[in-house]
Amino acid sequence: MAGGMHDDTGDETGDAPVLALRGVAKRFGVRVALEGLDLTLPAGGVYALLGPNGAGKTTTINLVLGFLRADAGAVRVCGIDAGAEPVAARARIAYIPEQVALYPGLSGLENLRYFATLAGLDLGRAEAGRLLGQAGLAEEARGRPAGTYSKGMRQKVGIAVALARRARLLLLDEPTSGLDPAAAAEFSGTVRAAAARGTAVLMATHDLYRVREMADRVGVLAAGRVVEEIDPARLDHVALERLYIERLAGATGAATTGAATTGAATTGAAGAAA
Amino acid sequence: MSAPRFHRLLRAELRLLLREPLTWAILAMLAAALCLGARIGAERVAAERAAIAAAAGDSTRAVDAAKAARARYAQPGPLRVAYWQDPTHAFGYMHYFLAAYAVKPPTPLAALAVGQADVQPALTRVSFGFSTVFDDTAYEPGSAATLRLGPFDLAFVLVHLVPLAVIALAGTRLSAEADAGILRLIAAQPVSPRAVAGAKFGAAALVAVGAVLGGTALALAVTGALGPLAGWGTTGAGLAAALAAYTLFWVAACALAASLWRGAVAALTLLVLAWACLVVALPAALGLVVDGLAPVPSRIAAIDASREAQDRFYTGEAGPRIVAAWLAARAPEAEAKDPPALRDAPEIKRLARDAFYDAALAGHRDALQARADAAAAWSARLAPLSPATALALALETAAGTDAGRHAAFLAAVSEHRRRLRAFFEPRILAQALRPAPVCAGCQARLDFDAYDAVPAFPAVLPAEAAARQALLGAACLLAAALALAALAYRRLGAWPA
Repeated sequence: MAGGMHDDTGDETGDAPVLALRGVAKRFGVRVALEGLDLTLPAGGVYALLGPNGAGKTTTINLVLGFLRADAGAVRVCGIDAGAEPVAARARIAYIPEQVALYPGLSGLENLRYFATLAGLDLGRAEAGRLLGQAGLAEEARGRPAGTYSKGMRQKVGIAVALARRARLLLLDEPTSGLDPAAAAEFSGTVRAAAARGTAVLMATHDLYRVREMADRVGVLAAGRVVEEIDPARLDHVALERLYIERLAGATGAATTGAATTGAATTGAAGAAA
Repeated sequence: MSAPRFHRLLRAELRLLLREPLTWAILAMLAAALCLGARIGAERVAAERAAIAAAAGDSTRAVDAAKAARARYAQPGPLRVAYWQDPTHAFGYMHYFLAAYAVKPPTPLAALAVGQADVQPALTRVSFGFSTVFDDTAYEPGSAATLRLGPFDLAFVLVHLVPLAVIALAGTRLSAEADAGILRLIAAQPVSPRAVAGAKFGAAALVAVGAVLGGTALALAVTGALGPLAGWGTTGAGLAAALAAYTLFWVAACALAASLWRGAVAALTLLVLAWACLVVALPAALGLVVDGLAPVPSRIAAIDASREAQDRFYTGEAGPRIVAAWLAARAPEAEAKDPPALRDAPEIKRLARDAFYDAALAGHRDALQARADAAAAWSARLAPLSPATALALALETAAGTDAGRHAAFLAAVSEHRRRLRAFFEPRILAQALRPAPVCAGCQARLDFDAYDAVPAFPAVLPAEAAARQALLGAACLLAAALALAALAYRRLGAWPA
């Protein structure tokens, strides 16, 4: 098995983007979680969804994973409808949740082999060890029970699972939250390396600093829609933070004035595009 | 999902399950409970076999004593022995020598379930003249023993404790993963919740069924509780299938609880409540329903009727008239003899009295027998309503300790008493009408010597009923397990968001 996440054996439709969300809407009762969300992610692209709690980031991830079905619009992973064929869509996705929870009684190596089995892979010990090494887990830690691992170590096992999967799309939910700076920097490097190998990455995060390091596009999500799309390379951290806060304030203010919301969001997005 | 992939997943889940110390702790406790239950059952069966062997020895000794006494008294001598010491006197032999027992021998699988055996006898002496109403007069079926949960036998372990072991083993599968956050990573893999649940609960089912069947077989083997199994193969296979299906039922219940996605505590609470309802409350409720559908006739009324009959016979003018009528009916030629002397003969009075009692109390005897039959029939009909009672009835029937077998045993005891009476009565009458001593001047009075011709009780082993009930129980439990599994399968169509 090669070290990359890209699966060349996919049966996706033609030249479809790795991830395509078109006019996606989702409600939970009367609460609007997403409304008209559009997002396209090509191979090798890294897209960060920024937004406050409740903005719709996790809902977006759940829709991509097929855990939820959209009320309107389409969610396609490599051309596959994630709502209608969630298992087939997940075959192209590797997901690292905010808190990577592992079986505490199993070692990192055994956890990796277990999750690989779930994914339909028959991973030998040597291959599993190599993947854990590639994910940055020290050799002495690989045989220890995962119950003794730090968050960063657990996340490395999660990365190893993703590496084993050779997925076309990497989904990251708050990937650097709770990591020390060194671990976060190491993680950023891993993500960039994956993207360089052609893996598309969608991450939901609050971490503006790491976003700027990792993402080539940033979407500011508020009240269920992208109110601003930013090229982080064109802004420094301070400008990015200021813009983020302004857009959130604008979206929140617009949301309280009803119809004005749409105008504010459109203006913001248009401004960023310009 | 392809079969090889599911097979790999199942193996991974098995490894995961067997890595947990809790699994081994549960299996060890289950094995200990099964061995203890089997040992208690084996001890009871050994005691029962010893009692039956002692009864058989008693019967043989009684015949040998009668033959020895006959040889001793069939000699001329100065004295004539009293009829109650004289085995050549058919009536004397019937009352004072005969040791006839009706036995309900333990089946080869008797150690499985004490059932009704601790409140109902496995053997009863068929005697004449002492019990007027009840053949099981030495026992009290309505005793407080029925208020207990039951003895700690294999059936108790299998019916009551195995579900708890299964709940401990499989009750938090998936739910615990959801609580720990592991489920999120599991669900993100390209695998359906049905496949994951199938592998997780399939592994739990393999371990649980293997532990229950293997543990039971091992416990029976270690304690030497099994009898010769020739002819009981179908019953054994049916019971194994019923046990496996019962275990699968509880595994399926665990899967159904997990499919609610309410977490481990909620799943365990729900499962323990289901255990309490299905294993404790529902069987108790069904017992009450059986009592309602087949009410127990008053034993006090029967005893009262017995005393009334005794009063009628022994006081006033009724007794002699009853004896005269009985004698006229049974031996019309007695009129040609000396009727007053015959009517005063103890054997004639006793036979006439017993016949009178039989007729006077027939209604009470029939009501008791009908109640026993009805209770057994209703129990069999209602047992499939609870998996616990379905399995318990299958185990008790295989062990031969069920209420149905005891009802049939009581009927057989009554029939045997009639058979013995039919054997002795004509011989006693003939000796009364035409007394013939075994020799002139003998100490023995008469010439009865048919000791070996006295009918023996036809003890039966309920092999067919046991096989039928085991297969029926297995079918019912398998249907229930499949229904629960189908419900869980239906609910596990999607991962929780």
